[in-house]
Amino acid sequence: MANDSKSDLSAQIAAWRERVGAAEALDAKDAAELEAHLRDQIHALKGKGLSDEDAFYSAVGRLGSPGEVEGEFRKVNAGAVWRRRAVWMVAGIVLFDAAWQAASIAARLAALVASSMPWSAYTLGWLGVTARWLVLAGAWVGVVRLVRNAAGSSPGLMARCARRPVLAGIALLILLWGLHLADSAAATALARLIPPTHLGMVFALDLWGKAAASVLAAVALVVALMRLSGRPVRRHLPRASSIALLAAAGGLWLCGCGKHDSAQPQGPSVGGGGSGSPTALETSLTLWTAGNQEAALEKFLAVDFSKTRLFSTGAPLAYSETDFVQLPEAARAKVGELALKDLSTLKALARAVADKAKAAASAGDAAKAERWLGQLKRCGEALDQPSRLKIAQLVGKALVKLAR
Amino acid sequence: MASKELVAASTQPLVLALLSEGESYGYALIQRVRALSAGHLQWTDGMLYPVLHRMEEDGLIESEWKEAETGRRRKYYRIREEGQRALRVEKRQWEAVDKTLQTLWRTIPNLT
Repeated sequence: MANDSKSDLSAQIAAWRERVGAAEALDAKDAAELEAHLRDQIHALKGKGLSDEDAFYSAVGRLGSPGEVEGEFRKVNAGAVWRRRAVWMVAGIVLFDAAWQAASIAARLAALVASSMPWSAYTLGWLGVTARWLVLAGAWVGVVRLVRNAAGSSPGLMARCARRPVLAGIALLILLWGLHLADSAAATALARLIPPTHLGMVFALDLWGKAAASVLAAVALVVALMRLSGRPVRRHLPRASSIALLAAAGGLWLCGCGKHDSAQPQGPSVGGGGSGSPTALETSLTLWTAGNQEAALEKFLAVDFSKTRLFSTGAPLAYSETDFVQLPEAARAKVGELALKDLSTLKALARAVADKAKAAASAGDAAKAERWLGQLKRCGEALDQPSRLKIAQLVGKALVKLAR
Repeated sequence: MASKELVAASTQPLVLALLSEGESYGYALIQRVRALSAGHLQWTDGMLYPVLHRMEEDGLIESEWKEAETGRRRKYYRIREEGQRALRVEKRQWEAVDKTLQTLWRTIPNLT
């Protein structure tokens, strides 16, 4: 019985200590000093014959109203209070930015890893968006846990950070810098490594996922701030806000789908792009790149340039100049690079064709020479069309010239 | 019972005077004042600590956590040189107030 009441009293004191420790204006040492006082007072009151319970409540009552006492402490600890607030504020900003960057990195890596699979640009894009949202949701749960744990006792890590602000600041800066760097690296890798035909869709969906996430993050921040400020979040508010969140997510999802549907028929930048069987000219170029030059020349000779489709949909050289300049910067760089590569292959092939014609002419086979040159000229003319990239048009002109 | 304002104004000189007798901690200071004033000066216990902290910040007193023989840890306060000077100034001021009032009390006959 005596043990029971003793542990009751200890529990009461511990609960009181937790309440006092949670006050913003009091640090851990202030709370410890007040606890020592409370224990002395209870001890004295019990010596006068009071029960544990009476002694506890009487001693707490003599301490004065918690609001008033905290107000006095706040005056003395004003500097410390503001320092603590600043640390929390900076920590909040840093955590938010870190989570944001981590989500971005996750989105890019997910799209990058998935790009090795034969999936559509749309699937890759949505994988990225899902990864981003999962990481952000995880960060949200983590922050809620952290805040809940930190509410009662003074958070050890935070206290240590507050004591060594310069060190903590440098560590945080390095962390943020690293995350930003990693994100840039991931974005660059994504732009360079995924099929150029997928770039437009993947980046469009990525940006959309980011925009949607920032809307949700704003709502989440308001809820978090309300909780932190200790404002009683009304019973119906969580339900109402979850419905609003779901509605917002649904609406955004529909927007995303609508964007996808309307984007599908446009230009060569979207859709399964580049898929489908390669055209005859493309086969010839591939053979040439593979080192199979004779086969490449044979194939070239067989190409029917009167057909409009020189290149398959989504291939770099299938872009028109107008579509090309409208691509996002990263995609444009990638497509441009590939187009230049294809064109230089074509030029090498064209020189070989011209050599063939020359050889045939010197061997006295004028008809054969004419066939080679004619094919070369038709290829040049097919390239020199207003619907092609400017650089492709220039190469076309050069090919026609070479054929003369 | 002294008014709230008077309690607040007299806290610093009382603390300085008590600490000039030797180091002490919050609870003991409160008990001493209650006993010395025969209960006329009632501090709200919790209010003393912010005052002690401010006095420490002002350099009048200094503090140290110590373990008492009972095993309890308490924060002990000690007066500093600066505090001794402040105490002398306080003493002059309170004596001036007291002297003035004493003179006046004598001139008003039926004031009890």
